[in-house]
Amino acid sequence: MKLQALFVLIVFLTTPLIWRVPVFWKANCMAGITFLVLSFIAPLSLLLMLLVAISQWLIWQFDFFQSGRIGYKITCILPLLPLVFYKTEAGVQHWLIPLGLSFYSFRQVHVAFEVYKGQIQKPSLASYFQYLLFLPVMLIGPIHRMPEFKRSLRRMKWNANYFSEGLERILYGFVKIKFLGNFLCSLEIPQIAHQTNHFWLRLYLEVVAFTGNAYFQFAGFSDLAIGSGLLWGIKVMENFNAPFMATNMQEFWQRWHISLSSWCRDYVFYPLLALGRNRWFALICAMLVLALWHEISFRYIVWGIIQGLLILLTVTSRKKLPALSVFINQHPAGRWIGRLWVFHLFSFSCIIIGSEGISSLSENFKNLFF
Amino acid sequence: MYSWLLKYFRKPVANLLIFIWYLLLIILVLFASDFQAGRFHYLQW
Repeated sequence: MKLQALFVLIVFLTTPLIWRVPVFWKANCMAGITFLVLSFIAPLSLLLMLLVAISQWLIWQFDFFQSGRIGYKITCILPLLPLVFYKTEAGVQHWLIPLGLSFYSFRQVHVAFEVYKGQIQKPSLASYFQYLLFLPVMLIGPIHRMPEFKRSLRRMKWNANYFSEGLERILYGFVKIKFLGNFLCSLEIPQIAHQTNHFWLRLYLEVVAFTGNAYFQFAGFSDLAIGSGLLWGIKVMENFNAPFMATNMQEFWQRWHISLSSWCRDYVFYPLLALGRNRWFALICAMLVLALWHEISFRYIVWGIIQGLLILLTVTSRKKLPALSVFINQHPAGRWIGRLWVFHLFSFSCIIIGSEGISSLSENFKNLFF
Repeated sequence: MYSWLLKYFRKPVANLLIFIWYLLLIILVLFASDFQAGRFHYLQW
């Protein structure tokens, strides 16, 4: 929280500078500020990011691996190596995860994949650095895309509405993190839960508080990133779109952490679907990658598979029980039942994440249901 | 938020409402930030 607040403060203080420099220098200026901040706060992270980015650029530029498209494939895999190394348990036990690694690695894979597909041209080193070194999204995302970023850069001009909207988003972000997340969901609801005599109710309130806290923290940090981006005149993609208003799990994952779920759809689901022609296999793999992005551990593997199975259940029930699907999606009462169903399904699946091991997991479920 | 208020209220009313709204949010943030280690420090609750 303190680091993201510091980033917001730096963006706010440097906003006059960004708007004073000539248009040509704005992007370089933003990247320069990010470079300076990271070199003081997280030099290892900066070094790792630049090393991978330069290696990718060299492979694109000089085509070291001239046999077919192997070079492009290497550029897609290269950013994932430090991520896998640091996220495995061995890595976590010995070293701190470099700042923002999960986010910039996926951004680097996105660019490599788009270059591989021929959707975007090989970026120059300067424009690649401008994209990667964007302070508002460095710490907690979103995983914004390069074409949108470049479009935003091209259209960049002073707009007072952007500025006020940015300040408003930052305020909403702080309310979500500080009041709704840290205070209400982390302190007040658990306190009420501890005061109750009913064991089941206590566990239920704790589960609801855990889910609420996760949502408000993450959505709040996304608001800070989007708001800071707007201060600098860059529109960053939305990361949450009222996820608990979704009436089924498929819709929920189109509204929760949109930048990550769309990344998994574009770079895991579609390629695997094209390769194997098996929709369900591709779906489970995409949800597994989404889960493992958070942490490489057994509990996240189980959680990812369950999320995939829940989407599969949604799609199957839509085909097998069309009347129920129509009721859930079109009737006002049905929509609210669907929303409650989604909220509880997601909340209870989060018990898996909150449990340390299989014994703790089975104990939590036993306490809740039996 | 401000543009939304302008749809339903005249400009001076919208200005007042947005001022109250932002003030309320800032107070909420400060209130929540004050709560540390089980008690409110500046409020001394």
